[in-house]
Amino acid sequence: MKTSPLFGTLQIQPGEFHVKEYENFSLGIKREKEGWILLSNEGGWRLKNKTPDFSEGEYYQTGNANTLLLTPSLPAKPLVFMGSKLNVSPKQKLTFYLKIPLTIQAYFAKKSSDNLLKEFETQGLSNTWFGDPDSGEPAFTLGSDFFFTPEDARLQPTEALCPVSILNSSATVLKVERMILRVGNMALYKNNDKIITSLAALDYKGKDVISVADYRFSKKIHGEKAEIVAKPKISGSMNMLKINFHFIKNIYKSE
Amino acid sequence: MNFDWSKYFNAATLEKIFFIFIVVVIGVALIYTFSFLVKKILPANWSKQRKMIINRAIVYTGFIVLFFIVISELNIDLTAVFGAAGIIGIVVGIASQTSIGNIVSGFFLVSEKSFEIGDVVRLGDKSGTVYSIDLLSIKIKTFDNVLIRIPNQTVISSDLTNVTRFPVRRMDFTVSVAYKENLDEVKNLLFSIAQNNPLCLDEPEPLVLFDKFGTSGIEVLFGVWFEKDNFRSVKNSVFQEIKAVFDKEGIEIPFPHVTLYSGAETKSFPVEVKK
Repeated sequence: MKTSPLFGTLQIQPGEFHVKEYENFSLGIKREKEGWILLSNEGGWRLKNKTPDFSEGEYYQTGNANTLLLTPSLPAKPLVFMGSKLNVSPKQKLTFYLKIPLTIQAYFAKKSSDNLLKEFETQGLSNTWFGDPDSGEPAFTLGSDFFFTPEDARLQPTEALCPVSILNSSATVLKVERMILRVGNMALYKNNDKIITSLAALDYKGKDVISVADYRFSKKIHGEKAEIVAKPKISGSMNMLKINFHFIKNIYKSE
Repeated sequence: MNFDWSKYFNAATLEKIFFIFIVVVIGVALIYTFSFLVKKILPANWSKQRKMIINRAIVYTGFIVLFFIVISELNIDLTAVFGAAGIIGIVVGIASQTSIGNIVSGFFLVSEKSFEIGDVVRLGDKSGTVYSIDLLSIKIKTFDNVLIRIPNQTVISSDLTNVTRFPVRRMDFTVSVAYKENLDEVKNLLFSIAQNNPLCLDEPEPLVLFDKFGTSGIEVLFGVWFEKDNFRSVKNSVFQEIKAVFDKEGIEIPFPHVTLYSGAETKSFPVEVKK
């Protein structure tokens, strides 16, 4: 089956429907007289070459506009990278790339927060906890795969490339165990049909020292003509002093 | 007997009573309006408990001030009142020992911050959500929607468990498997259950502990971590998944077995089948 680009603007007349079908993600969109029915595989539905049953979908009353926008976005919680095979020597800088699953936002008529119908996950992400059980923060697990070049990543249409650079400013070797990416502070850029997140530049200063995370645009990585497709969900400073690395402790030691 | 009512109920007294009534009404209205306005301007990220303490402080202070205004309007000599207060204080103190104990305990409870309004707590055989923390008692709303009043003194002198103090918790399941089962396989299956359940956290990682050789089987402690708001969903889903996965993989969950002997150890119990 030929697939149309996942993101963009759809014009659908009342009574007609459109289907987006990818490896892990299916989305059925039906235009009703004054609203939309959206059906995704989050509810267990898969297209499998048959007409979707829109009676199982969710209806949104939106008025007369026949336009629907599908835009990429990043997951609702931060992502935790499990980098157990990554070591950075003192005063060294490591740049690598991660694959981040995108979410899809559906807007009617135009892209504004009032017009958001729903945000769909394109991949089921596993919940985890970053930090100690008595503090820390909720997050999704990103896994441990990393790539040294963007080409190695072989992105799916439902994934974005996330460039990460770690500068080890401490005097000891940084053995990356868990690293958090606060995707809410990241923007999405498009260049040559590739969706790239902001560069996550992390400055590691030591195990018990708060590190600096800077989420920014980089001409070298994003390209001169990169187009911004999604602004960060959390506005404010992109330069944050926070805990970005976690080193696992054996919490059962005392039991 | 000729009692001169006009001595007490004359125009001047009535005017004073009316004036005091107006002062009390306006005073009460001002106290509650001020407390309402303060509640509105307090930062939204402050805890319910902190807001409640500030609110109560405003209300109680307001009423004390109002009391003194009324006393002064009534031209009551406070020196005499305070003189009598020593004796009254002793009488009241003896009579209200428990109440004073509860008030003092209340201050300790609030300053200790071991729980706040909205926390789920367990106290003895009672558990529920903290509904309010008052001068004399705390009120707990149980999960079947019943309000329980527990005196502050009882709370301070008992073991109290705050179930929702931390954002993540571990839920333990004791699973029993038959002696014939492969324990490595059991361990792997339990880990896969936690891994496949989206509500179970990947980290802190699940705990599988072979606990003891029980009377009917080997008891395994299986602990999964979850975000505190997902308690019921995790409890039900993990429970169902353990049963489903064990059934599918043929892992026997044993139940107490009873072997009957007819007297001789080597002979089987005679069974007669009637048609």
